[in-house]
Amino acid sequence: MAITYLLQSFGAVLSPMNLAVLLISTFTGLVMGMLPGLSATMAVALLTGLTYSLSPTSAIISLIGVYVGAISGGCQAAILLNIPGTPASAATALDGFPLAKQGKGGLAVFLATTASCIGTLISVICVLAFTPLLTKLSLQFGSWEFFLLSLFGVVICGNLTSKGNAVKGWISGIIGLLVAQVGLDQVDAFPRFAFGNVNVMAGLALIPIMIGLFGFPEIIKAFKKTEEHVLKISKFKVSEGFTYIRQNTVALIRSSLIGVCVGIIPGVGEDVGGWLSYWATKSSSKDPEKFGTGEMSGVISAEAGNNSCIGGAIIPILSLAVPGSAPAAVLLAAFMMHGYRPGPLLMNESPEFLYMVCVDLFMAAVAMWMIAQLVAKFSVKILGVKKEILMPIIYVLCIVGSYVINHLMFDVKVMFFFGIVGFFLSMMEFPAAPFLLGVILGSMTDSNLRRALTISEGSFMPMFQRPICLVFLVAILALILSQFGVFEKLKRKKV
Amino acid sequence: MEAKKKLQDFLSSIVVFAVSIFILVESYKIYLKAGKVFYLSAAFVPVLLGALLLVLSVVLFLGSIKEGGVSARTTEFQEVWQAMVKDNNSLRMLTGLIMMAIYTFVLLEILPFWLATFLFMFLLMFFLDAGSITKILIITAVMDGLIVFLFQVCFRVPLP
Repeated sequence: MAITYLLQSFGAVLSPMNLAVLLISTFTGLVMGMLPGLSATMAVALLTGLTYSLSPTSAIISLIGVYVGAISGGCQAAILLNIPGTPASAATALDGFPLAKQGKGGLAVFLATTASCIGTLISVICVLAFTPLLTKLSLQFGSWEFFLLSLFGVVICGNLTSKGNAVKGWISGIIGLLVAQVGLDQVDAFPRFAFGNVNVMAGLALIPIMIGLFGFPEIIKAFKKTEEHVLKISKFKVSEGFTYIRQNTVALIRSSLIGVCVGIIPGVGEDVGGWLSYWATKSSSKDPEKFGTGEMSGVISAEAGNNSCIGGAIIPILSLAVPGSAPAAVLLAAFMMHGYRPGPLLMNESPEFLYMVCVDLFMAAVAMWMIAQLVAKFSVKILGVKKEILMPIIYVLCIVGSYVINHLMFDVKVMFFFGIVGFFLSMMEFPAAPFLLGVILGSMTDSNLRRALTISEGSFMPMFQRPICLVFLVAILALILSQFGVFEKLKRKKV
Repeated sequence: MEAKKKLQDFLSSIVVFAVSIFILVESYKIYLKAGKVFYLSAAFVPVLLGALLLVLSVVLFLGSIKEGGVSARTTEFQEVWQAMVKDNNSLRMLTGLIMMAIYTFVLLEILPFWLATFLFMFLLMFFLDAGSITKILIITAVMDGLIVFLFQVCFRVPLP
């Protein structure tokens, strides 16, 4: 059956219309990823509105194409400008830029895009292998488990994205959970925080919030005057590039697997995947001091790690309807907008969807690699576009992207409001990812907790009597205690 | 760098504290209006989240005043504020933000989308000194036309 689904999916992607959609969207993603300030989340969110009139199959192909393209495209700016095109490519800049300064920019871009492609392909295998397993496990989940899963997601996302102060990540996540409480509640349809406004009573749409949180702050920040110098793409031998890839096979596979694992963790995105993979390769290297001075394996690891997160982030979407990263959250919203219902029942209701997503990912990775090689010569020109020209256009696209979901100016105003919120979060160094995850998981948290309490007549005891709940509780407790140095104190006491 | 972080934490903890109080008060009103047992009420989760937010804001605040106390943070804030007011980049960001607000809340409400967008892009690019007037005019006209053509004609998506 799986083979049939795979063949059907390949047939669908290879139809002339869908192939054109794939190439255009992957190219668009690459360009958006290349341009500093346009993150992958923003790219997918903006394009979601544009796919409104496409068939669901074409829409999913285009969104996955943009996602893969944008994550990979970020490496070009990281290597040639020393400014990551997307946060996912931050680790790539460490060795990519020194390589470009040594006149090996072309080779570095080739290695980065090839590693990105291979990383994505490895993640496709993981999606195929792990999604059915996780889906089976998720069928064991009841209301208590889903409640704790959402809490676990916010806590771990807060821990991993807050750069040292997890309290800020948790605050961000809790505010996100609160935003999701706005509007009629799912159990009693009782209006909360609506203040008599009919539009607010309907709840706040996800896409405008995402565009505001991730796009708006970048636009405002780009108004600052800065000087950027683009290094040129140098010529290189493709065979030399493949030799480096072959020499770094172990690092490539290890980074891809790290990326997949990071991707599976709710809300923790491609940037963490890139950093962890880079760190793992540096730690296991015989010459760690070479890292940061133009080490090929650094570029390869970072890019394989961030791109394989894409597949990893899709696994919890398909099996639990919980996004693994911020761009994946937009993807989840887009899946729902186009009539798909990811979650525990997916493998029973529409098993072909898993294979369709995998084939789309596979094709997007291949298309991305080919397009990246073709456009590499023009990268310098694309990167040379002034942000003073780009950002006003991007803001107009933010307006359009927010409006087209429900055709409401109210959504545009929501985007603006959350843009201001996102800007202040960014200024105060609060991570936006837990906020977004909170918004997505908020209704799950509320409805499942209250449903569980209704069944248990107000008792929290069942939460401590279910094995999966206990695993989540221990994990949440460990994550919280680890941030307050409890384990270190215990270790010291033992010594 | 550490001082900057402390100041950020100090300021944000005050804002978060105020937000959490607001949430708790509003949730209490919801609880009264809903008239249900607390754990079944629509206010239950907002109260839990508001309380958590309150606790975390206090933790953040206490961490921020560990070295120097409130007076040190207040002095730092005054210094940062004065530097920010004099900074050209802050002015550029604020002006850009105001232009975006005017476009969103005024121009789009009273003018057709293409005209509002043309005016906004032209004025913002001009303010940001993106190039000569002719260059800005051409880019604005082409991009405006392209957005309208792509969304309304090609994808048949209605625009604001």
